[in-house]
Amino acid sequence: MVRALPASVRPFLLVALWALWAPVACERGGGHGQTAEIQAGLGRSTTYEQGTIRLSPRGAFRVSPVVSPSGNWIAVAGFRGEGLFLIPVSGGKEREVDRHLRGPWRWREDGGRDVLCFGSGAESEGLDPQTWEPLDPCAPLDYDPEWGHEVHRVKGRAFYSNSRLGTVTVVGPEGARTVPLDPGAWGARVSPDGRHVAYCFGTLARSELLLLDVASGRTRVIGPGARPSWFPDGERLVYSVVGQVVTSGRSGIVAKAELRVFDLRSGRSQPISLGGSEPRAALSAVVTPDGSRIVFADWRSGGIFSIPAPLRGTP
Amino acid sequence: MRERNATFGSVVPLLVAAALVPAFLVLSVRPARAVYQCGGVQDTCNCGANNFCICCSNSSLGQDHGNCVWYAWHRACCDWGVALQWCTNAETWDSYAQSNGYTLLTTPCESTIFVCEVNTSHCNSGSYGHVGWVNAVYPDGSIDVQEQGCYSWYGVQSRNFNAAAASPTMHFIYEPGVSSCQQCECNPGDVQSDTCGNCGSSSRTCGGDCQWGAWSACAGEGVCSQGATQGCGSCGGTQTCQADCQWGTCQEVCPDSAVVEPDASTPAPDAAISPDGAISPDGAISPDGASPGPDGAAPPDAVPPGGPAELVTGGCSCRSGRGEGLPWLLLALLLLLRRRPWSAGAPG
Repeated sequence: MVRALPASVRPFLLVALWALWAPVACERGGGHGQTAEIQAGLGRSTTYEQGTIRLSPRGAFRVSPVVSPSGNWIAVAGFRGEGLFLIPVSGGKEREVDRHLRGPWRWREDGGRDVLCFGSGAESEGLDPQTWEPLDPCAPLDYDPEWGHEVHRVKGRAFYSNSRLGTVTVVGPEGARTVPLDPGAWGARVSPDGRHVAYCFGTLARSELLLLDVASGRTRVIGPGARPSWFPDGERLVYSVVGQVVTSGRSGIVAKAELRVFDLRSGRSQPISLGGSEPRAALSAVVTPDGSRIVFADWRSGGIFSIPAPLRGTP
Repeated sequence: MRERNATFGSVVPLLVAAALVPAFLVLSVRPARAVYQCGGVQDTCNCGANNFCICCSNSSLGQDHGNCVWYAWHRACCDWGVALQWCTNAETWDSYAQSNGYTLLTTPCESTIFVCEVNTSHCNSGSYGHVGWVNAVYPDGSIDVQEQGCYSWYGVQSRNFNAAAASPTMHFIYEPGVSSCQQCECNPGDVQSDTCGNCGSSSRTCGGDCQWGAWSACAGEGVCSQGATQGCGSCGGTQTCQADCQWGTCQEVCPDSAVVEPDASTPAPDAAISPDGAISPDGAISPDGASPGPDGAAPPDAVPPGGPAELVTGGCSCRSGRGEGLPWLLLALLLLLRRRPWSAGAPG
């Protein structure tokens, strides 16, 4: 076929064919193709020094990040907790689930698939973040007027928290056992293995972080802190320490808050470097399921950020 | 119910009354009355009436240990200077507030009374509902509250709870004359800067209304997006956009293996732009803009800012899109047309 063309044309034809073929060949190149794909997904993320990545779009105020069970998605709320949005953990464009939602939402794992449950009714809607298809309604978390609402379930035992009375109730095959904490104890977070419960006492601005050993019923004070989140190994937790609250207009705002990691084994707490030169009000930190990164909301900028989780024993 | 009445209600002969008018006026400015307390809080505020709510007593929790309605009434008296007309069971406070002309919203606000219906899970309101005082509202919608409880604990306790999650079943009674809540996003006067575009920066200022102003225009941008690649030179070379958002040197190898000198001045017209952020070949995010080592440790110093994925030496940029070959194809066709080697209409 090539020979059918005049000799003077052949080189140009070859150049043209090469130009068409070359990019295709590159894209087929294993890891390179994967790289290009993921880079395309990083469209909106901004990389800062010291390993800090901004995940949420600039100009939007986002709070309360919660990472999906697979670790692939982060659900966030808008200013004042209004609205529900999804951000890929790898970065990429934020998607709006419901701009005006005000109500509880949570992640559920269903056969290896992430399910986002949201809505204000007794039965919340289910959504597959990957396909964006609606799923069967999610069953509501259990609530008992005395025990409070269910906060965790592990190894056949369910944990309930009543923040008004300040109790944690463990319900298992052996029956129900209520452990009194402090009246008003709030924000209870049960460790993945169910051995400890971290909880807060006081207001957010002046909160104290405490730790309950479920087996013995003993509590210990970690120090000033709020909004704890456990590492997957159940031996460390990350939390916020509010350093400055400014009141202006009709509302107070947290102007500065740092993140710290408490190690149960060593009993030591160390601050985490958040990156960036500006002070941050880092709240609502959560650890990704693989324990590699920490995602938090900065109440100063309204951004959702991701930082590498510190290795054991390192700040 | 313990009620008190500090008014002078007795009937007095007119003459005696006339003689006592000056003294009565002095006393009525701040009625003298016995101080009443509940849960360790004394009813000392002046709002024109006394706290007529009951205070719960229990042998284990203590005499007059508290009551949520007593405390909410007390705070409205002290903080608003308003004597609420009702003190019913907590779950009815929202309807009483509405019927008395108070603004009732599901949006939390500082210095409001929160009302939880019966057995609301997030405030564990129990069978009579619950009320309390909102001290602070945070950007995530959570609120710091102060409250008392009946047969629950002694005194006033503070806690924070997620009002955003509970708001569909929570109501907030606003101070008379206040119909909405403006909440702060920032500290007035704060200036925030951020990166934008291609290594540019912009800023915004927090206004006196404690809300962020608009972002300024992006300034100081470079010519390309960090990590992007484009074709260059005459042998299918590639150049990468560096950390300063300027094009790096042209890397290319000509078909005869002769290395062509770098030429950063002639980018291809349809250069493919890759987004911000660096990625290691295994897909792991490298947050500092460089590729992580195999164990996630910091990359070696030898790696350029753009990361190894952008360092192309074989003349085939795997980061470019399909469009990269297009200029070559167009060039070839252009030359082809100019030469018209097999034009059907050529004279014989």
